[in-house]
Amino acid sequence: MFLESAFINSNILSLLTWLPLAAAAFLFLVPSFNKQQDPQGSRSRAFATIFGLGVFYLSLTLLKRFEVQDGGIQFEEVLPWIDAIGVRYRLGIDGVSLWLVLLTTFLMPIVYIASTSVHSNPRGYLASMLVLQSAMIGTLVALDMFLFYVFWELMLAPMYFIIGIWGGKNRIYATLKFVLYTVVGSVLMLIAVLYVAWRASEQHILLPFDITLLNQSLNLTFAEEFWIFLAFALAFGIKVPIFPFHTWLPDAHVEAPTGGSVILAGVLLKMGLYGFIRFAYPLAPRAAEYFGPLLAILGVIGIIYGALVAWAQTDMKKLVAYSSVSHLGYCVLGVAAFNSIATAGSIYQMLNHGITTGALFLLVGVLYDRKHTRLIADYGGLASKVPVFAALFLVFTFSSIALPLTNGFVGEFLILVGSFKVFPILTATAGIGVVLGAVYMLTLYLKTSFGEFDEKKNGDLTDVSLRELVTFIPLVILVFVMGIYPQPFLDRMEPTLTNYFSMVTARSERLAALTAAQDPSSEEAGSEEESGDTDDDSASSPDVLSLGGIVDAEFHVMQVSNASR
Amino acid sequence: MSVPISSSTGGLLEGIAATSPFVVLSVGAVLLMVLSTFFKGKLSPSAFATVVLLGALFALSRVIGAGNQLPESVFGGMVTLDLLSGYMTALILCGSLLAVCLGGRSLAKQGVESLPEFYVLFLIAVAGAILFCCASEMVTLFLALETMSMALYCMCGSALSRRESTESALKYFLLGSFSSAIMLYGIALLYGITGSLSYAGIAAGLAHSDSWFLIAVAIGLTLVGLIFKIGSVPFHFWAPDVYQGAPTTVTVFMATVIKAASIGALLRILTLVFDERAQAWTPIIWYASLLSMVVGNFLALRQRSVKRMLAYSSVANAGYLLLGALGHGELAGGESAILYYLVGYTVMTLGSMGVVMIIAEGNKEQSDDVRFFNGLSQSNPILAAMMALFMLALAGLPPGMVGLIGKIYLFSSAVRADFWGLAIVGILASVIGCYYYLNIIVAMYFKPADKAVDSRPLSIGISRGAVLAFCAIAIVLLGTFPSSVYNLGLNSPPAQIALVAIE
Repeated sequence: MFLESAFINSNILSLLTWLPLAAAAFLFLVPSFNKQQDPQGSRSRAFATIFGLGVFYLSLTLLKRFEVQDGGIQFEEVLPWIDAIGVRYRLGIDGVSLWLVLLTTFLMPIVYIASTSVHSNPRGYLASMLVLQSAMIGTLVALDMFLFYVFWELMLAPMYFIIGIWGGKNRIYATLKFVLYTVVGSVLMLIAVLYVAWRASEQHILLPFDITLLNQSLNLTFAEEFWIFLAFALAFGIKVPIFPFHTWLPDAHVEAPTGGSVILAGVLLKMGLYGFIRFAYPLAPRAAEYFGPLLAILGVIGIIYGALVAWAQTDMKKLVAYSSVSHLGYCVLGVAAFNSIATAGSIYQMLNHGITTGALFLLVGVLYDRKHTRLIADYGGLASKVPVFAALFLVFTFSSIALPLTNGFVGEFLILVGSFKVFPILTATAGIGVVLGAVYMLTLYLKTSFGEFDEKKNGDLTDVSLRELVTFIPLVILVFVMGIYPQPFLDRMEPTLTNYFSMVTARSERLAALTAAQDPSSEEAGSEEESGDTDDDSASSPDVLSLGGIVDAEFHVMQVSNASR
Repeated sequence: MSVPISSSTGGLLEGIAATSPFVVLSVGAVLLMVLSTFFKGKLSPSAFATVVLLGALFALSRVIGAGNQLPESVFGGMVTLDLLSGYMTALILCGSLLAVCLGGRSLAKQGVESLPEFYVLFLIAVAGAILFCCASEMVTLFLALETMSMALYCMCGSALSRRESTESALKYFLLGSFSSAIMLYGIALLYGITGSLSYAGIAAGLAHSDSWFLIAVAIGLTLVGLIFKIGSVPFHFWAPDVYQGAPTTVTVFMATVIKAASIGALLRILTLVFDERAQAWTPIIWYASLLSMVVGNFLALRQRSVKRMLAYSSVANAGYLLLGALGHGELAGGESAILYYLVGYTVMTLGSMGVVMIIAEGNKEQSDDVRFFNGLSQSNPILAAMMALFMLALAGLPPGMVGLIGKIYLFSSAVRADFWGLAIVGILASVIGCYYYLNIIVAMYFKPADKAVDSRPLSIGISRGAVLAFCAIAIVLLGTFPSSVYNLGLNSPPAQIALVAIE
């Protein structure tokens, strides 16, 4: 079959990244998609849907050809790009990014199908979405920090247009807030990236933006790590968003069109967590350990605070938006706990959140398309009038409150188990969030689906159409598959995470040894800083050390430093 | 680029051959002056000017093609031919050509009545700009500066019927003459210290002299004239008024070609003449860069007139470019960064000014107020898309990659030269820039068109459309394959070039 051809095999990540962009250009340039010939946008929609499905099919070959036992980078592609500062076009995926890439390619066709609710200029909407798809996949597969930054920034422009053009009443305010937050974050990231690259070229690392190489051989003092981690953490934390930086999210969600919300919650927010895992932790492992408790506290605050605020909402979309803050708090906690179980749980929870919250936004969109209101008070007794809708709503409500046998349960369970070893009190507190989550979601469900059906106001409400059902069915299937049989997902993460933790631990130890050797006078200060973390250290390191592979990592370091000479 | 000036100087003929682009332009200007009196109304001055520019480009290609057979400096060391000269000449000629194609047709609408004279002045200004960055002797430099400036003063005032045009010409003339005079004073002091007027002679003299106070004063005064022409803070006050008042075609020309030429001249002087005395000029350029980035970006925030906004943005861009000048030298590679960013800046500014020109022509008041951009995506989707690309590029956001990569080159050259703080200020300042660039996009895409504004499709015209398309494509290509242009500067850090892949 043509998918087995050598060209596709060796360029699959580039194809996944750039094909959507090409499709966007195609949509823009070919006149049969223009306003006169395609006023309803049905042709554009059909094109984007078929295209999105094609890309999803292509991405499934990743899954098929992914070496389960290989914890390293797979499907790697390298081309020279900006020689003068040592930037390369380097793509590759491992067990972490594999699933996020698949999540993206899986959600996009659903968004394309669901774009019928966009009436003004659907062609432009779909083209923006296609560009966004390119940017998101590029961000996930880039292994060069500068390339990552470029794709990261490229995600901004299409999302800006999607909210700004096809958004609600307050869209200009929402876009402004979204852009300002994001740009501040990315500037901090840029500064950190440039600093790292500068340090790397001082140390004669030939490709100062290559993340693998940097992890192996970049030397940093603790103070440097401290600032680098802080800059990265702010950049990624704004994107997630972690508690005090979350205020842009509800505004953006409420104003965004349904598809925009699905992608924002489904994929864009995960980029922050992915950035933590891929860049912030490995580059600054000691600072990460130092900031770990703070990150965990903020995560738990996010869980509780998000849940409480969600409970108080009268607007369904805002409720789901705040529930996102709460759910992502678990992921933050899991990443901060920094062991393979919690991190695997975090990644799993990212996938869950993409599926469940995406579906909830779609459901809210279904109601909004029909009645043009999202207020909870305007609905009631939906179960009697629109039973299929109510059934779907129930499934995703259960998934959102992490009922066993749904995907949410697996993710939250792994996170709580993994982080309990490291932050017992915080994790216990986070458990309250699970209860609160059940409270606000079930309240929402009760108020909308049960009770009195207002025939006068909502008499013309129709059940989900076939087209809408098509978008929900794959999501429902995944909710149960991932809830009942998570092993295939975890199997592919495990070798990567094993490698990852041994690499980060080895790096952390190497840096600590280097600091001690280079600067004996600062040992006192260093030991003071470290004495605060000894508890975490002793709690997490046995787990991490048992994963082994340190010798291997050290061997790599030696190899590279030899090569660079 | 930092090739030492060799002592070999050719004869007169060789000199003329080597400076043939300049010669073609000067002869063309004179010819146009004469011919236009004889064939009044029969000769299209814009076509003539285009032909002359193409001729100059052809001459340049011959010069570059001849390459090593030509001496490195001609006319007794007054003019240097090196990589920088070639690069800047090409940039100036291409920029001028694009400016003519972009704005030539609308000169009459902008109030310029006597077209032949305008083009004569234009050709003279281009010739002066070329000489400005090729000069390697102070008197030649000053002559080139005045040739360029005098023509520019007149061009600014060439829209006789509009009072703002006259005002801008007067303002530019007064301030420009002052700054030139100050620069001349600096040159006189340099001559007093070193007893030489040639760059090499001054450099050698400065290295041996120990009257550091005089040297600092002389260098400072000399830089005033150059910083003025670049439009950098604190000598930026003329820029917004002149940019706004002058006919837009002249504004385009000033913002791109003249700025590029001045940066070229500054770069040559800093790196070749004052290199040994970096401690004297580093603080000056440091502060100029810092203030330009901060002041330019902050003042641009509040502008309603897009032309003024772009004027302040050009002040800010001058700051970024000066950052590269600080990071000059073999290791930091600031020169290549500047040259790359100049190319990018030229296409970005040309494109956005072109759109402003089209918008201003589309309404009765000839206004470039930001409200005339409202709803542009509905009435003129392609124009709006191109403007959005130009704005994103200026803001340094993908897909306008050239702005981003150009700034990264500049900032990393500053970082390599250990100007960390300034690089961070630059990055932060460019974030402020995002706001006002994106503001245009907000107007074009998110706001409905004003009722009062005529929303029928604007006429773009073939030549203008071609220039805009060229700029848009250049932005994407320059960003995708940055090394191809950057390496022309050939000053990339040696350590990193060689090893592209180590796997």
